[in-house]
Amino acid sequence: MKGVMAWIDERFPLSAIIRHELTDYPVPRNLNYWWNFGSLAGLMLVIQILTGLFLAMHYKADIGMAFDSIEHMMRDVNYGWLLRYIHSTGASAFFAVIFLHMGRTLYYGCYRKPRELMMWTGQILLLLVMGAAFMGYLLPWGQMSYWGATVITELFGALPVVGESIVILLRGDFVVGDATLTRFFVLHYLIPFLIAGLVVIHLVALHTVKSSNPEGVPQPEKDAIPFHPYYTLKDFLGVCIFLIIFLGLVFYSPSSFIMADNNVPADAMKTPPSIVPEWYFLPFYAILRAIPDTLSGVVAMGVATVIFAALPFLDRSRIPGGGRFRPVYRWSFAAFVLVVIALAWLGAQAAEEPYVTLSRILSVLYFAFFLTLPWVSRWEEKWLLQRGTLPKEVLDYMESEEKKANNGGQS
Amino acid sequence: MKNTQRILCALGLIFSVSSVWAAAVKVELADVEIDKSYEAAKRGAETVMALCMSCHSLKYIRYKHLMDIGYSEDEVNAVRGANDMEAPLMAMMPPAGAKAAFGMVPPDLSLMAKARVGGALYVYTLMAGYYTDENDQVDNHAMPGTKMPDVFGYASLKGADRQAAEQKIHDVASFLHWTQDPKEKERHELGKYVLGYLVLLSILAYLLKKAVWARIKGRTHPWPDKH
Repeated sequence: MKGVMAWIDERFPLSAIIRHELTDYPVPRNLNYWWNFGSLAGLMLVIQILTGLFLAMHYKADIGMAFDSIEHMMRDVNYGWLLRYIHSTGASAFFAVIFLHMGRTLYYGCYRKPRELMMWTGQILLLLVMGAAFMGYLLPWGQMSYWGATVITELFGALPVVGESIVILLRGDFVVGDATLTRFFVLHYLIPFLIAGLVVIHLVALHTVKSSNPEGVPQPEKDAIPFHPYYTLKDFLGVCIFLIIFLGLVFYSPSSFIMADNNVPADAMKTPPSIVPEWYFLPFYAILRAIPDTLSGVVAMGVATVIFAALPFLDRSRIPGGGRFRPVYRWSFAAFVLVVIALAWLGAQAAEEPYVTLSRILSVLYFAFFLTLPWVSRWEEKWLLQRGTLPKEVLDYMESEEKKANNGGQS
Repeated sequence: MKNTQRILCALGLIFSVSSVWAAAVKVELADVEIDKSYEAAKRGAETVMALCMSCHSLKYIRYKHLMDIGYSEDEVNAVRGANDMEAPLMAMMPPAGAKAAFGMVPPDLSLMAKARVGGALYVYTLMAGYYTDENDQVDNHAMPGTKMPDVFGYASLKGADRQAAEQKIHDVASFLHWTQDPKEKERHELGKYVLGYLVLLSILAYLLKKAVWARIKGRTHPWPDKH
């Protein structure tokens, strides 16, 4: 074995990579289980790519054959039902894990300097996963697939000047049809590999700045521990627990993630009584519907999706970390989570009162979390410093950061 | 810790009611338990092939699949007539004729128990939902104004006859529950072993994690050779 490694090392830095990224890679020792969700997201990407790959071997991207090809997989292909259910449940699991990962990032302030690029690569990754999910949903060619795609592609028509052309470009035709299905299949196959590449960049950025930690204050270097074996084992434990939940759902409740209407083949002549996206799009759907003007609704929905990228600039507090030492931020974040959950519930309701008014109020609150942050964070910092309750390590850190900033300015 | 608990509770809520996201027309489902056994499915198959298949197809089920719910090869040969073993279960009425008679082609039944909120229970509720209204017209509680005829004559049945019809409808629901996902039993079986294995693996993973992390417990300088 040693001989083989030596042969490879002469030609490729394998040992050096293993040392630099695993066995010699320092990680804070105080990470909690909220830090597991990044690796779980990576796991879900691999699971979706592998199951998707084998599903694609049997799937037919033709409006006359798509629905039947999936039933063929469910009934005739050996373990086709397992591949299908892992993939369909996997989409929901992927988003669950991503949202929890984002929650960790927001709560602990992991988006702050020097991790801004991690936040932005993460933001783009979110958009790519949403795009892949949206396009994947058309592929079964069920009622909800067809009508969901019709509603969402129609929205782009609200854009001034180029709107109509964009809709036709997206659909490949004037209406959602065979052309749409073919291109959505192609793009759905492509995007996961773009995601994989961007994940590598996301990890390179991580390995440059290293992980943040629950305290927010960078931990002393001498307190670091190597990623392997400590976090490889902890991540492995996280994977095992996650798989119990995920595969539990796959084996015992997979249909709860597939809307009843989507088991009816798409019919352009029959509009379903209620067109609702999958749960992971619901908060954004609620924001879209809250605003009566279509274009403003589309813009609001878009901004709601990407506003996370602005957090490094919006948060003006010099107190390190997120909610750990900042009670105002902690409660705002908790309120934000509740607002998102409430918006998700509202997104599934019919577009009538009192749901419309509630959606409007909650959409305002959603944006308020971000837009009030510059002032609230500064006020909170002043208030906490005045109170004198911040621990010494935090004050020391703030002082040293201040000194660094001043020295940088002077030289 | 409080926030973690709060978030986890909310997530639990979302997943437990995820099936409610599919907002649909509200139908009061019958208070009956669907029999998922293959014996019930087989009885239901007999009723479906005798009554329902005059108008409805079950194109995702092939005659050979009937052997999975307990039909012997001879029994299948008896019901398939001129059709191959590989042939799908098609309706006797041609689609054009059905459209002329009813105004629409009667939907395929293979996935009916999946395509409606309530599943096989909805099917039961529909079939047992026929009643005679004040104008002596037959209507249905679950699908008002439906063009589907009351094939069991349920609206006018009483007493023991009604019970017998209910039993037949119950079996039809069982059969349609099987057709929408023939692999359900196999899935549940396999799931036991998969989850059992994962639980054991998790216990071992936890013990190993604890054992390795104990090396650095309480040590202020856990990685002396690095620094």
